[in-house]
Amino acid sequence: MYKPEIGEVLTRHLGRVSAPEELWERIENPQVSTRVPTRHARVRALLVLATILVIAVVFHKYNMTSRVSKAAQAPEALNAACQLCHAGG
Amino acid sequence: MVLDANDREVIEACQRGDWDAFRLLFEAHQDRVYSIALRYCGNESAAMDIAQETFLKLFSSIRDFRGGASFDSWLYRVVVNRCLDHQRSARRLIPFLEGLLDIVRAPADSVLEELLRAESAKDVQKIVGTLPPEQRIVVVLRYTEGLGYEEIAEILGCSAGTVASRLNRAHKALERKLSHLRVRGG
Repeated sequence: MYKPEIGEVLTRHLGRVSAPEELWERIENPQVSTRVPTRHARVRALLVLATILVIAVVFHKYNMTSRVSKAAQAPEALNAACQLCHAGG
Repeated sequence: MVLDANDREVIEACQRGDWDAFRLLFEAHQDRVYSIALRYCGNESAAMDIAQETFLKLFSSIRDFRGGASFDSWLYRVVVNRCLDHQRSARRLIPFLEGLLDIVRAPADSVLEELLRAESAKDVQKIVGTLPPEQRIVVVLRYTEGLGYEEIAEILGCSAGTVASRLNRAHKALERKLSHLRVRGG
């Protein structure tokens, strides 16, 4: 049956570990050391930023493409857009 | 566990605001608190936050502790509540991004390396991390702390039957996921 086997695996891998030395420092000075960003946290933050940037770029490109295709279907609107562009500088 | 005379003295000193007594109490319980937090959330940074919050809560509310009750149960309840609160406030995006990072980082391992990795602590920890919070905390209290059903039930404020049922469901889910890992590993 599964229970003894899964129990053994969990006992082997979920045992106690030693607390890091800096835990007491964090308790003595909670305002200084709380939630210091780790390397992983910084990597995650960068990844979030990169994801947002990619989504923004893709959305912008998609938006532009759909506008141009709509304008191509209506030449008058395209002309008006071109005139606006020229007028704008 | 009932407090012995020394523990009682240390707790009484803590209740009087003795910082040295706090240090003694911390040293006696730091590994237990940190291990529960780490095994529950699977992340060292979050485990440090939970352990820190647990001890700060412990020190600020130790005056409310009544000597007749079990100190261990009281401590377990504080750390379990911190774990569950942390889980509620954690954003769901982070595990997703960590998964993405793992894919990016994953080297082209040999079959042997993959086999060795298959049942590593990290994998088991990751799979435990996929359990629902109420099952995961039961698994941690059972296998990290070696507590019995009755003790877990007292800490969680539910019946021993509920504990047994959660553990049974967790076993089944873990067995399924771990066997999948073994197949993948070879």
